Amino acid sequence: MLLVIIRTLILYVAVVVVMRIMGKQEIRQLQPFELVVALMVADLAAIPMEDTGIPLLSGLAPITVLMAAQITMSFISMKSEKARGIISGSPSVVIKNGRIVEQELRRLRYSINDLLEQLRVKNYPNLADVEFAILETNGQLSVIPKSQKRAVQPIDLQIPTEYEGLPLELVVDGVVIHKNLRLVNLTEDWLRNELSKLGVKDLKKVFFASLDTAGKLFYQPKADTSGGRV
Amino acid sequence: MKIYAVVAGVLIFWVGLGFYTIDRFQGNATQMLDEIGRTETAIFAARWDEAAASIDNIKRAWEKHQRWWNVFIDHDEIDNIDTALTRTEQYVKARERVLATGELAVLKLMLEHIPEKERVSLKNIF
Repeated sequence: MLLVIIRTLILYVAVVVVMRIMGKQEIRQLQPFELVVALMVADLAAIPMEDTGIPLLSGLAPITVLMAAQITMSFISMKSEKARGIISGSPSVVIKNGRIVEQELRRLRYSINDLLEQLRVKNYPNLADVEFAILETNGQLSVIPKSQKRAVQPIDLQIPTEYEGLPLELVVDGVVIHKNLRLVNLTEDWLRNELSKLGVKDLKKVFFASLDTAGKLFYQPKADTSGGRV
Repeated sequence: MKIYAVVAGVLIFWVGLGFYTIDRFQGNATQMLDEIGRTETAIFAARWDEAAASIDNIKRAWEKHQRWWNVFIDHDEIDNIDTALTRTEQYVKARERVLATGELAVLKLMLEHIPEKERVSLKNIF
């Protein structure tokens, strides 16, 4: 039993490290060859995990070799357009200038119902509102609506807007993120002072605090154990 | 670029380890098979003390090699070799010529089979 626990932990660490090395592609929408690798890695780790008769290396060796193969494939598809087409395929235009490309749907074995379903998921229940729809290599449908049907943007109304950057996290679960404070040339004393103006005396009692690009401080105190606010 | 160096390193390591393992299995097996040959000769000539000493040599060699083999070979195969070796030892102690030579033949087959199974060949790949 102890053996199983130790082997499980070793394989778990190995799979996490391998997935991290393989990159973010493995946890977002997968390309076909990435999906294959993810499935195989999971299976290869599970077998020696439950069967102590199989040497651990029989699981670790193929997992790391798959990692190497996957990174090589990614490198090749990044460097060569032709290889990318072969390895990942190419996007397919299924609606062009407002008209369904029947031939493409047939080639992809993608039914009109699948297409309508995906359009509804993307918030386009009416096919007539769509100018272009492209089936991406990862299976996702990208939709470009007709210009009259897209959401109004400030530029359409000629409304000036201010810069909006990313808000900076300053406190997470009572811990001050000094790195972010330094980025905006502020100190913990400043934060303490600002929060005390809002009635917060102890930073440890702040669940989350952030500063937006307009300089507005947002905070949420930790809930107390009785269910109320601190 | 660091990641590609890691990938190349990983591949070189596994391929190198693979070739080294095959070589080591072959060397270890040959050493034990030679000793098995001497045991067989001693059993056929009814030199039981010599056969028992030879079995001891095989056991010592196996104990030494087993640690390495365990890392790469299915543990069931290791257990099978252990079992065959223990049986042979007992048959030799009991001076059972037929049973001892039969078990030695099994042991020989298993020791020949493992390096053969690890070799890169079309038969093993497919």
